[in-house]
Amino acid sequence: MSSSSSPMQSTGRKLKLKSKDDETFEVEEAVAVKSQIFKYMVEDGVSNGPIPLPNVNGKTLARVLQWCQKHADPTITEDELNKYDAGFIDVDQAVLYDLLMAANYLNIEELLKLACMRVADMIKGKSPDEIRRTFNIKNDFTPEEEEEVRKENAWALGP
Amino acid sequence: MTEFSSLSSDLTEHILSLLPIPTLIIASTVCKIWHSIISSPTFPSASSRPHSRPWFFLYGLHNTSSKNHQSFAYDPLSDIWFRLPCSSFPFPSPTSSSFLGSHGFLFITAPLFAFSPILHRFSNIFTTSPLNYSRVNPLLGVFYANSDKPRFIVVGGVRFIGNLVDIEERLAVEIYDPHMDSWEICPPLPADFRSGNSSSSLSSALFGGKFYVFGIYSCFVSSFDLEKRVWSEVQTLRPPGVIFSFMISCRDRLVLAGICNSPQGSSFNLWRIDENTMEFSEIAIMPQDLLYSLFDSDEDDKFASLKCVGLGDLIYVFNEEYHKRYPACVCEVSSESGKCNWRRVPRLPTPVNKFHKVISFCSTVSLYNMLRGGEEGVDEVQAMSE
Repeated sequence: MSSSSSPMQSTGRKLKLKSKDDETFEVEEAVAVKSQIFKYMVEDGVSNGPIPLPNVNGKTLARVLQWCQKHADPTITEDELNKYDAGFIDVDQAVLYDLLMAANYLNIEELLKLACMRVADMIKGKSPDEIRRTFNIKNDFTPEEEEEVRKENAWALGP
Repeated sequence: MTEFSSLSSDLTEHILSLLPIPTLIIASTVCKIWHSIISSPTFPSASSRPHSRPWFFLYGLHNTSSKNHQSFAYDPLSDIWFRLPCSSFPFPSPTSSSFLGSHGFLFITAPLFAFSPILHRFSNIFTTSPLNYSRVNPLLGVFYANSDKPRFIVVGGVRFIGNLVDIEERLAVEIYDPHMDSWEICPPLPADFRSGNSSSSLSSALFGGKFYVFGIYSCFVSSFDLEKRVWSEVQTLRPPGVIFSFMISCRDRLVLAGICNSPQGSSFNLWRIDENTMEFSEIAIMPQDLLYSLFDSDEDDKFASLKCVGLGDLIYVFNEEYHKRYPACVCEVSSESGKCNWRRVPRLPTPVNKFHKVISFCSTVSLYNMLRGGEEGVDEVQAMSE
């Protein structure tokens, strides 16, 4: 990742990261520490070589770092950040889950919350069948079991 | 391609925990894994966070036919009313004069004392041994003292059919011991409360290990220390201009809520009460247009049907008159800033019958109780601590 054009305070120190498909990234410390994992590494003193991230592919890592960059920018307003987040997370499911798992693995709380909320929003307002279709989930209840489970709280199911 | 199924069950649980209860109930029917995550007793649903957003329950009793009873529940998180099924009236024929709700339970207090958990998968009825004094519309508090079984404190409402009740009996207080299934007589309510000691003229709030009793019109207040079993001295708590008010136990503060008259007109105000000194400080005033939207007429006593209940971060204000189908509004008190945010509660889903008695209360709801809630007795009812 090339250094940013935004005027950011930098110690000049950069971290080198390597995705699972061997793409390398260079990122300012101030940006990387959005991830608790990197934060601890920086605090404990980090090795010279690139940090391997066997759980994240290059494409996803690029996106994540882009997000961290935006969120590390001190000049950006809260409104602009919210708008950015809304656009950032409006992605296909596959990308969304990759982002979610990366945020979890790298321990980036805000990004994880953003991604989880997005998935939660996809569940709201849908019927059980619609939910299954959206997420490609198999209904493993037998008809009797399903009837039993629906009866439990029928008042909450209908309009 | 990465799919939802690639997510670990921890992440799935995290995502599901962001959903409001009604959505969770739907989600629990999607597949077995979701059902098992959601109905687990340790599932961290947003609504299980202690008391932040209690539901508002409205039970309407119809005097001619119990078929016309109706009950509704409002979820503030999803901003929706639910019409509860007939089974939400667990008691065979609750007479309007002895039916009340509090802290996750419905009660009848006469002719016998019985309770049933609300929104529980099995609406079991538990009948206790008889009260020492038969009561109608008492004040009632539910607390858990070092136990997972609920204890009940009842104050006031003493009625003997045909007999006059003398003053001492009227002030009698009892506490239920679930382990012995017995009612212990406690020191009586201070004599200042001798006139009018049923829930129609008294408001109560459980806060900080004390049961506060407050005269809605008289403005007398006294608190019963549940551990030491003593009543505090009676004080008068009347901010200037107050006509009538209710005492409410919010998450971290005691609140007084009521109608206040000033040269500018009437308003509905909230005050924070210091539990030690009973000093009050105003924290909010309901927007005028919101207050007037709850009422129809211009009569002087229109506010008489106004009631107020609250818990956690929410205070509900509503009109008990059928005319406008029981309109309500809610105030959310932000715990950090103390700022108050008022909004209208949506209309009740039609049809709404004309009830001759409306029982309303706030309660947190337990998803676990709704979905699984143990077949056994009250042991399995997930404690809703104060």
